[in-house]
Amino acid sequence: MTAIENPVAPLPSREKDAPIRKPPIRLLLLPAGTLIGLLLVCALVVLRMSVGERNAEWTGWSLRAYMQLASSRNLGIIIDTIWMALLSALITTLVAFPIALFLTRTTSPIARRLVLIAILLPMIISLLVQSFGWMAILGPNGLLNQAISAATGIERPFSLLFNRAGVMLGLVQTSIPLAVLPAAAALRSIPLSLEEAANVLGANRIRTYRHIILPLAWPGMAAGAILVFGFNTGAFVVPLLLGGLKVTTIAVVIRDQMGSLSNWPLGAALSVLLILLALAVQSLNRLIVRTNVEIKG
Amino acid sequence: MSMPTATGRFGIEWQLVNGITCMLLALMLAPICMVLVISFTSGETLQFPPPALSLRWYQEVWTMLVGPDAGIGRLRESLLVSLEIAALTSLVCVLAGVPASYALVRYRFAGKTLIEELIGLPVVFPAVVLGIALLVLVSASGLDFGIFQIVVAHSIIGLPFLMRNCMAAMRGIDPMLEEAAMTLGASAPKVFREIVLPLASGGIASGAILVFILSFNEFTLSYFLYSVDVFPLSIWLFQQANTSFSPAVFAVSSLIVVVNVAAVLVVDAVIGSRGSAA
Repeated sequence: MTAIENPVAPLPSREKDAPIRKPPIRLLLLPAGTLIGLLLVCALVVLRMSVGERNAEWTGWSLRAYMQLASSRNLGIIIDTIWMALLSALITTLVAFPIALFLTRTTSPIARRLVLIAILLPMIISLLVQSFGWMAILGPNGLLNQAISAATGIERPFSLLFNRAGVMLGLVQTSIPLAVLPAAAALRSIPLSLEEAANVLGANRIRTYRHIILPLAWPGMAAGAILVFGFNTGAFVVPLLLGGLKVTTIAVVIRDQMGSLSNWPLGAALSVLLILLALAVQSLNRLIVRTNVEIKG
Repeated sequence: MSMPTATGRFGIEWQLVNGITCMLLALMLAPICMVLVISFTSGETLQFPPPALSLRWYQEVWTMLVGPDAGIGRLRESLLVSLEIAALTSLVCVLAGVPASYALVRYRFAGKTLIEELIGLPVVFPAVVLGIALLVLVSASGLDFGIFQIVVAHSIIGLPFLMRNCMAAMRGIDPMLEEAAMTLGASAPKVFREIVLPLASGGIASGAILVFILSFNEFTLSYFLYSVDVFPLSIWLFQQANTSFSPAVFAVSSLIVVVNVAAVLVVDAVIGSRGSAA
């Protein structure tokens, strides 16, 4: 599969006199290949277990787990997870647009760098730590409720913790960099002269956005939205911590089925579903990137 | 007046973009700032604003780390385990990722696109599924891998991040340099050691730091693969959140934030010094 065709252009003289053997490609790829191979084995393991029978995952064959996916409870969770991922992708993309605009238009390199670092931090810093922060803000005695009750006089007006609103906030906050970076890349590729031309020809700013900036930026924004969707279909930590036990996603259910409920085939079937969603997302992303490159090339 | 406003860098539109961006950034950084502020509270609870500022919870964390009873809360033990896992993970990713990056940048071979796709797979692969499947494999093998089951899991998801940085650095190296060295009689390993590695070191280092931080903060895989003997810091934090949620946990979290921010600044400086590569 990995036959060498052409290592770095060998010089004729060297090849004749002292043949230098480049290390074989298989050897170079072996360690990384082992790690990726293990990942593929993991995918095969869940695939095998998903068509196994309960308590006989390795020997039995059954499609019962996939039928169980269609039960109203499981279907509800699947639709719920996909819906939350879609909504978070939509919100994140909208929110990312002004930040991406700022990043591409600011003339101050320091401001650009600070903003870049600020949007990368929520992605890098431990999700647990950030969830603790959200708990302190959104909790029943948190900052938000205190501020609102001080302003309105209502005791504990509402709670955003341990419900879908809190989970959505966490999902959006942690995935913003995924949406900002592709959008900023797309915006950067729009020449300023286009906007100037639109202005000269009498278009106001709103028309310029509608007919020039948004159409040209949309592949980047779509790529970001797809990334966020893929990232959040597998969400585990955020719903676990900010959703309490009230908000369940596919990933949380997989944990429950493989753990305390010990229905391994069902957990494995849900895992296969998540893998398929991830692969679909990756191919869709490739497709958009490729079409975009073709347009530009 | 018409020309400047034409590109949206001035006027009300630009102020709007500025304002919205600032607001959003404040919102995104709010939970992190909250953790930092509460960690300095003098009170016993997580109330905000704190009644007064003090370092008492940092003192508490300090005694949990080095005091005579340091073993009880398991904080020191889990911190050390997490550092060990993160260091080993970076090492594995460098050892596996650097040769593979070189192969993908410098060789042309059949199936290269496929391999590039496969290398990117861990980024999109659901972490819960990877964790569960590895757990199934480990228990099926009946062996005790100790710390290494988490190291391998973290290495799988860290590899693409290391390779992305490493490949970007290697693409910036002029192949003529390597050819010249070979013409002058340097062996392939020597060319790699004395030309490729030094020139790509910035990319490798920033990749390795990213992987270190990724591993140090990682929760989902650790959650499935931890054991009584291997108890990483993220699991310690999770357990605290479910049991005794004292400001000491916020002090530990703040220390983690500081380490993370420092690492991001280092990576930023390394990438920045490489010029326009970023």
